[in-house]
Amino acid sequence: MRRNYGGFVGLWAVLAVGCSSSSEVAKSGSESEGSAPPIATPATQTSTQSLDTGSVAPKVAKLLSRMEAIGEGSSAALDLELKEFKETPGALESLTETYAKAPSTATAMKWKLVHAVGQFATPASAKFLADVATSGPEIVAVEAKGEGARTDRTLRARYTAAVSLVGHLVAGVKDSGTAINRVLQDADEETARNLGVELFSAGKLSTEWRDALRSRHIFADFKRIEGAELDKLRAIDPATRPAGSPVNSKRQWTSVPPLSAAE
Amino acid sequence: MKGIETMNSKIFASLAVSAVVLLGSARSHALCSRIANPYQFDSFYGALWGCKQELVNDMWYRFAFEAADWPGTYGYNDPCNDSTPLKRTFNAMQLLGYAMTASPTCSTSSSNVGMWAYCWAGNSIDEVYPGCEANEPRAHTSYGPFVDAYTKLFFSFFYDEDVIQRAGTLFHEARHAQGWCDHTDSCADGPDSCDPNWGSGCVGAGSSSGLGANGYTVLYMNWFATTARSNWINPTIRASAVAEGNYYLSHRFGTDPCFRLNAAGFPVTTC
Repeated sequence: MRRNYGGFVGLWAVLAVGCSSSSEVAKSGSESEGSAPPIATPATQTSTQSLDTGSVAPKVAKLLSRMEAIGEGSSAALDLELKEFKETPGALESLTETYAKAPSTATAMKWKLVHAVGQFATPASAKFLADVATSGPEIVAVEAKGEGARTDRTLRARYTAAVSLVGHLVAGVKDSGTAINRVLQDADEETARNLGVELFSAGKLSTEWRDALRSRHIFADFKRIEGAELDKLRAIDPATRPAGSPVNSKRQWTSVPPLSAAE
Repeated sequence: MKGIETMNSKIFASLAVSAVVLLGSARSHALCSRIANPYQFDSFYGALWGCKQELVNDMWYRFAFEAADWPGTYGYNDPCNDSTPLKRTFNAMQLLGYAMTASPTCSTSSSNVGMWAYCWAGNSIDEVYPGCEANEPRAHTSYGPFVDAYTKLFFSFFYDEDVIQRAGTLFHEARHAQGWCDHTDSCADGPDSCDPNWGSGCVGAGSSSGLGANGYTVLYMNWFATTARSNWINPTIRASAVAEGNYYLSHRFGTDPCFRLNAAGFPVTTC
């Protein structure tokens, strides 16, 4: 298979060029205190549309962009894009190598790459997903409190890799069962648990795999929460402040404009 | 607290504390921009609501934005540019409002939070403004008597979170603001980020009972993944929402809630 070590650099270069102009258009100027910003400035969307298609890197960028598309026709367009991408020599390798070379701080990109590999259904993609799923937590020192404190930087990627293996299994991909065995046995507890949840949800959690979880003292008697139990779980009362507490003095809106005009 | 380094209501009315809060809320306007990460769904959600002036106006007044808080690279003069913090905030607010319905309400009677999340968040958050300081939470909310109530959004909110994560963060912060709902320190993610447990997740004097801010995030992701309108969700975005919900479930509760979301977004018992 063709190696594409230049892919990562190329991908970043393409994206940088595609986006720099839009960050530069932010203008300083006088603001009218209190009024909403006028939208007269033409929208400058970030774009990866005008990409050179001469190498795999732009195709990776285009695929990842297409995976975000919403709305009528987007699903069919993605299917077509995926089909074409998969037929590109070195396509899977370009994804996995881009993943390997991306800095660990590029969490959104790395997650999306794993999600893209999950759309393949080959023994090689199964192996890559198992590698990611078993890569273990990357615990980062946290300086910020609160929401800044994402201590496990790779959980998103590991979770997505593990869950994607269930799709491989359902599609009958060779070696996907082996990859799942590996994740159940070697992945961190949370990733193994999430794989168990997904296998259960797909009706694919075998006795052997339940036992693999139990041998690690991970709960394996999964049950979908439904009915009254689900209602209880979802019970929410957003107005539960104790009587007598000072109230929000801000204007309380009573309606929201419907979106029909914008859709 | 998603953030909430609050000054919460543990300290009812200390003038000294109020002074600190006021200092803490002083607004600086360092350059705030980055080459926008194109993998965070902004261009597609941006196109979905079209950056229409009437919707910009509604968000602007509902969440009490102020022009002086969003100068230059923050986006006041370029509010339809997906690279700016302002537009990235708008995109999240639109998702909060319209992902599950074209006609959101202000009544909170529906169990589906997507029906009322936007109005309720707007009524709960006193004002919203940006910051770009490094090593800050993604957002934090100040609330309580004798303090300047606000929700401040930081660099990581704008550029590290995708649109669905940002929408969840706004809903989460609204819970802090409305419910005086503080966090504890005991969970995997540590200081000021934890709900004690699922059913009773708020702490702090004068706080609400019931679900805490982390629970609100999880529920938003659950409802979004399972009930978002077909033209407001796709498989990749659903996967992001589920991953976000599961991150909170595994890292943000003192006592494990004993369920996780499957890939379709439905809860499954795990202990």
